[in-house]
Amino acid sequence: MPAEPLLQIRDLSVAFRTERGLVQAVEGVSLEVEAGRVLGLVGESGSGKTQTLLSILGLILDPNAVLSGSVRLDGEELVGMPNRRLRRIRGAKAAMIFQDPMTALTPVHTVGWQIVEQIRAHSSLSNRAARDKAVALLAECGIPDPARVVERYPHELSGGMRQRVVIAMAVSCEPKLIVADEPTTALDVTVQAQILALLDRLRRDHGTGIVFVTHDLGVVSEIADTVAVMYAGRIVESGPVQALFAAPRHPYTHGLFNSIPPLRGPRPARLTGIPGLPPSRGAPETGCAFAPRCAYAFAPCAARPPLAPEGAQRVACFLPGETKQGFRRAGDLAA
Amino acid sequence: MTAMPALGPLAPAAVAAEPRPLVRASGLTKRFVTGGSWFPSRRRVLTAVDDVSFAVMPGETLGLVGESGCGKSTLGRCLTRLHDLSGGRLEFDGRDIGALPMRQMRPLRAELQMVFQDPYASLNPRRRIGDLLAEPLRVHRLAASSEIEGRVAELLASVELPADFSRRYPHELSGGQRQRIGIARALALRPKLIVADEPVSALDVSVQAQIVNLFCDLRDRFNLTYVFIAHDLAVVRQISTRVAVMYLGAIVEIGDVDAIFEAPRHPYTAALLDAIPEPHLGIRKARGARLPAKEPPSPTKISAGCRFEPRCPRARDRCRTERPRLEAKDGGTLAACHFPL
Amino acid sequence: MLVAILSRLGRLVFVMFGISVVVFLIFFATPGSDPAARIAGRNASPETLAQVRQSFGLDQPLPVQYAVMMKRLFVTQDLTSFVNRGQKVVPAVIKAIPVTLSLVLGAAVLWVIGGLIVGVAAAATRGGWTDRGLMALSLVGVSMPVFWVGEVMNLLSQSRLHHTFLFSWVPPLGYKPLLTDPAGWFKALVIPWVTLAILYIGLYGRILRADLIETMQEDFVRTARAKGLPESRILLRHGVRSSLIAFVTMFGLDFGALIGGGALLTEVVFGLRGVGKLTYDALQTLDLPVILTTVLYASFFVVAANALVDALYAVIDPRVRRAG
Repeated sequence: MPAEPLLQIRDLSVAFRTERGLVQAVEGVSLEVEAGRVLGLVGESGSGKTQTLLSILGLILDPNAVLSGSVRLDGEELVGMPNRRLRRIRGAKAAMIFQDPMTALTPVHTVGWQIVEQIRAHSSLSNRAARDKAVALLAECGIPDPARVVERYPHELSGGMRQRVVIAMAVSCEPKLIVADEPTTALDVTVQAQILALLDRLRRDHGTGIVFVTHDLGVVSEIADTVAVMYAGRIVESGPVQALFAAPRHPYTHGLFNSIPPLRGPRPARLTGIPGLPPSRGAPETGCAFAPRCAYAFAPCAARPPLAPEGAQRVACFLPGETKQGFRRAGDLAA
Repeated sequence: MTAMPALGPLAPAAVAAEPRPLVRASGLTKRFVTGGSWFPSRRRVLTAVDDVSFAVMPGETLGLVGESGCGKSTLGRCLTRLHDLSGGRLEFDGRDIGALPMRQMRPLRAELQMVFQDPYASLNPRRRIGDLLAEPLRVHRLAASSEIEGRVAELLASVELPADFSRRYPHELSGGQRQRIGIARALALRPKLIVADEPVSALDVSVQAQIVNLFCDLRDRFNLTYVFIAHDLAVVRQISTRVAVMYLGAIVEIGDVDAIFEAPRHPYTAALLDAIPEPHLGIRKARGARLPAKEPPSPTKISAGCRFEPRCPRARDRCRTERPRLEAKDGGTLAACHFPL
Repeated sequence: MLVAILSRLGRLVFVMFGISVVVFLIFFATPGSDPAARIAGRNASPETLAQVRQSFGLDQPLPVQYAVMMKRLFVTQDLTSFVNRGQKVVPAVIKAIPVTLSLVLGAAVLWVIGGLIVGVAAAATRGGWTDRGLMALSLVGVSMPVFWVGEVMNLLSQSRLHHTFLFSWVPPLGYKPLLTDPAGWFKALVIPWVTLAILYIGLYGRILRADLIETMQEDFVRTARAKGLPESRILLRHGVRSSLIAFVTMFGLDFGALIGGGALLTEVVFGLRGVGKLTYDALQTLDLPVILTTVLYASFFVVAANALVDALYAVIDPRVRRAG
């Protein structure tokens, strides 16, 4: 085991000062990503997964945001790092891919110009050399006829092609870490499959670590090695994909699986799902945030459950072990 | 499953015992013309829906799937006559409504409702939920003013919302609650058919499950017929009795939901199913291998042969020259393919 | 591309034709009034009226009148003012054009540069003191009437402070031709330029600031930040160009209107005999042929400036190019 993982997040909290006082968007999140590995960060809207992601690169620019905890990339502490130094890490050591490729590229410049801009921001390559590199990157990302595509404007490309451009741009400076915010959500499934395959190939070829934020458990099973499930700003369950998918131990994770209609086998008359609504603004002051929607809630849930090791996973739930064992997903192991 | 519903004039006359379809489309076509107001040579015609024929029986739910730009939303809007048709026939409940002028369409609107992806956009933010639900009742004079309050409470109850929601404003609601209001509004006029266009795709997974359940419950309770448009095949499988797969404006495969999901005959359906990541272990599929990473073909220039031919792994010479017709294949589905799986 | 330009030009000619017809009808076919009497001016003698009728073909059908009018405007250019006996209208307008062009072009350069600087600086320091100061100043600039600013400028530069080093270089009011006296041209116009530009700098700065702040919330700006670019580069290379649509649209409208005589107040205050001043004088004496000519001339520039703006859109935003 290496001395320190590529990305190590310890006790990260993000809060926003509002008229109604401090709202906790992310609370006490700890995560690790090894080089060449993919962490799937799963959650619904308002779970704090995007804020967690943005804070890795120091991209929460709201003056009312209060950040605490530690984010160490390759042994270097990023929280509290002055913006000038952070800028040299962004796009170089750690790159980001955003959800909507339709809006993620500047409409008034060619895609080649935008890739060259990033390469030249972090290296002393000549304009010409950077351009050649851009063409090579586009080719590596599976874009047909890359020499022509560099001259195109974003609006002239389809969504899938744009996302390939965004990925080409992200990997242009050979980052050690890629953070991706729902990079396939806006795409069609056939294109999503291609993009997932591309990301998988890039991380194998270059040993890049990836934090992959998504709400889609199917995508997680496809690409991730480890998974962390967030609810109301906190991690409720984390662990290796194999273990967690075979036997989720948090009632919320269990409920998420039950919310997805199956693609094969018998169709349930009704989806079990999860009753109620996700909390709209941050975590409650005390107690388990999921308790109001939890079918298993009991007296101890009035206190906040710690994220404790349990089997191969870590689970934040007071339920007795045997109840959680019951969440084991039948049929999965057979498949 | 009884015999396949008749397919317009192509199919033999319906068996006497078979009930009349609620919706029957034959050769339905919708074109959009862009540009070239001065120079006809620069005019571009986009055939969003191209010669589509199908029928929906009462009580059935037809799932309409396909990727963005395949024309499924346009088709949905044609069915409710939010778009005028460019060609073909459209029958609703035995009446030819394809060319009905808007004025004569109006009374039929009550029976033909639509639910959209983002109900917020169609809810006036300055009016209370109660007013929004009462509005269609007043416009169509379906309730006396003394009954309206009770009717609104009834509607809210049917979408599992408490009656006091009638005093709230749309912005106070969550996405799932807004979608419930959107459904309640469609229900207000006691429709026979609801065309739902991506009604759950903007919702969180846990809320999505609740809305899917709600759709199923309402169908049973009010004898509704749905055309359910979605890109999420798992959701479509859960809710539909039959499925139509669209590609570049045409239906490439249509049939019973279990038949299509278990044994797709059209290569595009197969590719679509294969591309869906499933939240199960050990089903990592050989991804991306099936469809080449090309720019999807433009709907403004479609080849004379099979539409799917440029991306199809099974394409042969015949596919380049001869357009396949939607025909019955063994296994019970109809597929438009010369060389079905 | 050529087709696009030709079709654009065709549309331009069509619009000009439409405007000329409408203007003509307003002046010559308003029911209940005799155009001859209005052309001839106040207290015209019966002989003059008869002469007017004859020379404008007013006894003939309207289309013929229109044709005669256009011919005298564009072909023979011998349209004559009856109020200022014998003054040829078209040469008078042509003589006034360089004055107005000089004034408005110079002011436009100032206000575009000034508007860009104010807008970008304010957006970059949003919420800070620079932003608040600039916005307060621009509000002052927008609220000060042009003629008042002009009079104050004149008061300072021509009399109160004329003998100090600050304004000793300022020549007396009036226009110097650019070709014969470039230095004099420049000196004579500096103060009118500044006067005219003040209002627009404030206006354009505010517009650009608002659009720029909105653009800086866009996803692609977040992408640019994630690329590790310096904030200044993000603002200038990604933000500004994507925020110029409203700026350029306004510019087209304002520029066209000013060239077409909208700089009237500035011209009057600084004794510049431009198109605005010409119109102003013609309005005072109800000199119909001159008004008609300047209105047509003004509409031409408004239309031309709009065509220019459309071309600029395509330069600024590639998404417009294909739409054609």
